[in-house]
Amino acid sequence: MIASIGVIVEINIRVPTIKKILQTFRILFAVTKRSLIVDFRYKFQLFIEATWTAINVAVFVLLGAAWQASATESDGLPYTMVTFFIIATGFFTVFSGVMETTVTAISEENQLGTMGFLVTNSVSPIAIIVGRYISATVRWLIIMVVIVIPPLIIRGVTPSTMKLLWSSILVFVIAWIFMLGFTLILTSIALIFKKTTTLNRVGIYIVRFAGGAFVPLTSFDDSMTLFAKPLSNYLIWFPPAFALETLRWLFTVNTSKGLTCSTCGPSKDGFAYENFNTIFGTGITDLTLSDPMIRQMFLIVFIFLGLSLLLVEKLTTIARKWGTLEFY
Amino acid sequence: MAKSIAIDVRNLKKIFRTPGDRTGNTVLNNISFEVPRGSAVAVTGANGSGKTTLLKILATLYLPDAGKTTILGYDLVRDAALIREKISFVSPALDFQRKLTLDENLKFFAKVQNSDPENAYLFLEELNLMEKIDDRTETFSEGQKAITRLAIGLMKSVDILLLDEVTLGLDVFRREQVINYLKTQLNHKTLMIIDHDSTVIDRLCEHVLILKNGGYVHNMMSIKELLESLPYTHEITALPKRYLTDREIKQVWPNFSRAGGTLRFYPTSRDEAQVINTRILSSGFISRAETRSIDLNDYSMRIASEGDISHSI
Repeated sequence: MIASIGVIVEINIRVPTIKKILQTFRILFAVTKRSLIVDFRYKFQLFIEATWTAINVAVFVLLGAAWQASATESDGLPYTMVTFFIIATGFFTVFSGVMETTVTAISEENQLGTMGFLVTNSVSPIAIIVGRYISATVRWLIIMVVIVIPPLIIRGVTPSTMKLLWSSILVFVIAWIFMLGFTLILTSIALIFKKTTTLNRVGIYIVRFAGGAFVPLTSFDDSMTLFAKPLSNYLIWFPPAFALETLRWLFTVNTSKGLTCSTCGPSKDGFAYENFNTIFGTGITDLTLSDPMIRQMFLIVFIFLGLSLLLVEKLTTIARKWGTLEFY
Repeated sequence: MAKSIAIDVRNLKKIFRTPGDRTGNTVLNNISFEVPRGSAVAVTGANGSGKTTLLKILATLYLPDAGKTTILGYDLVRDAALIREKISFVSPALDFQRKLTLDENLKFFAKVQNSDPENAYLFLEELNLMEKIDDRTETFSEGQKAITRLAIGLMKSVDILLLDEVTLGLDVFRREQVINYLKTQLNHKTLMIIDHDSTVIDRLCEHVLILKNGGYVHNMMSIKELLESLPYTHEITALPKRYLTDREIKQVWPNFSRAGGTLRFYPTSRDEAQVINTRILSSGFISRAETRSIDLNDYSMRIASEGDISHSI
């Protein structure tokens, strides 16, 4: 039947060999190192990024302070609006910064004229984007630690145990993988269409808004009646929002409504999530890989990442066909 | 495919389309040719005849629109990743990260190629560029950038070298050094080169692939055959003291052409060239004359002037 309508589907899956896997890591390491060296040579840009982050923190602290009186208690959230905004600023200092830095990876290589040399030397657009994403993560984590952590410490928002640190890293990794997929899609559009600055800005803004950086996710609850448990589904399918929300809770463990060991129960990581589950309709037992919701989210982000990689491959093929791979 | 064929191109077609133009610009139109392993082929033709596009397709930067091309037995479309490990493509259109030093750039490419930067250091030593090894490449002149590109391209241990105008921007001395170095490095490698300097082609290549506008292969033959196919062996350029009539010029030699105020005579042997020079000296109305043997440029000029030669292999 397939042949009769003139469509031939060729399944051509090649299992990567150990040599191929090692080669991929070697190339990724080289691209990441190259990006890091170049990034740290633009010192003025680093200064501007750090300053911009500091301004963001200051502005959102003021906004949080102004909003404080009307918001937190009525929603049953454990943190103040100032904490709400500082943690979101820290979270998106890393992710918006990483995305903003990475989305220009392809167009910058094209502008420099380096794309052709990279591709013919086995450095694929995927390696360029992922290498840039990793190096940008390192850079923006440094900026976050220097600029955002001090105000959190000043406000008494500190990680109290190693278990908390592990849980924070885990949810950060989930968001990081999801954002990598999203960044791959946004960046790879530059393989075909050369002026994508506004599109990138819109994409980053949407993620930031949908991640709950500006408005508490609980205020979305009533508008999402399509799902039986709207917020929990939203958090599962859009992990950056989950990551940001749990980080806010994880960094407020010592407050009465936060995560506290006084009612630990069966939780493996030593915290109780009853209050969190009540607010968001989730069923988290602990923030470890043994939790079904965490596992489900890992599956979702890896599938999303896989689809993103396929899309970049497809766009690379189209770019080679159209002759737009190396031109700006 | 026979094992002795490095590049086998069959009915290769490349069309660049832009929005609103469905027909597009056909740069290569069903071209076919074979390049034997270990041979050195110059790709020549007028501007816009598709030389660089052809090399970029073979370097896996562009995908062809039709045809079947294999490189070292690998399919150009399906096995692009494998082909990239076997070829090196150098072109002025390809650049490197200019915020990095020369050494950082070389080490980066050595890492991704899984090659040894020592090969590049040797080349740079030969070309007297090692003193710049710790300088950022943003400060380099065009010639130094050309050498850096070649150093990156030659660092990789490959079977096929695709070189596009690699001597562009080099001074005479360095061009000579590059040609000599390439000659020593070419052993058993297959070379396809584009260069508008016929001395580079004469020194490095045995065969020439001639493309003509519209995306066709005009011819592929050995350089010796190609030069023998021209109806003359020398060209004498003469500058007359005044305007000369055709009759006066024919007294010197009947086979001539005019280009502006310059006359060109086309002897078919060294003896005829001597006869023409003797007549020029005795004529009294030619102030200066210069004799040279023909080279590839003469063939290119001939193709350009004949325009619609449709001689296909």
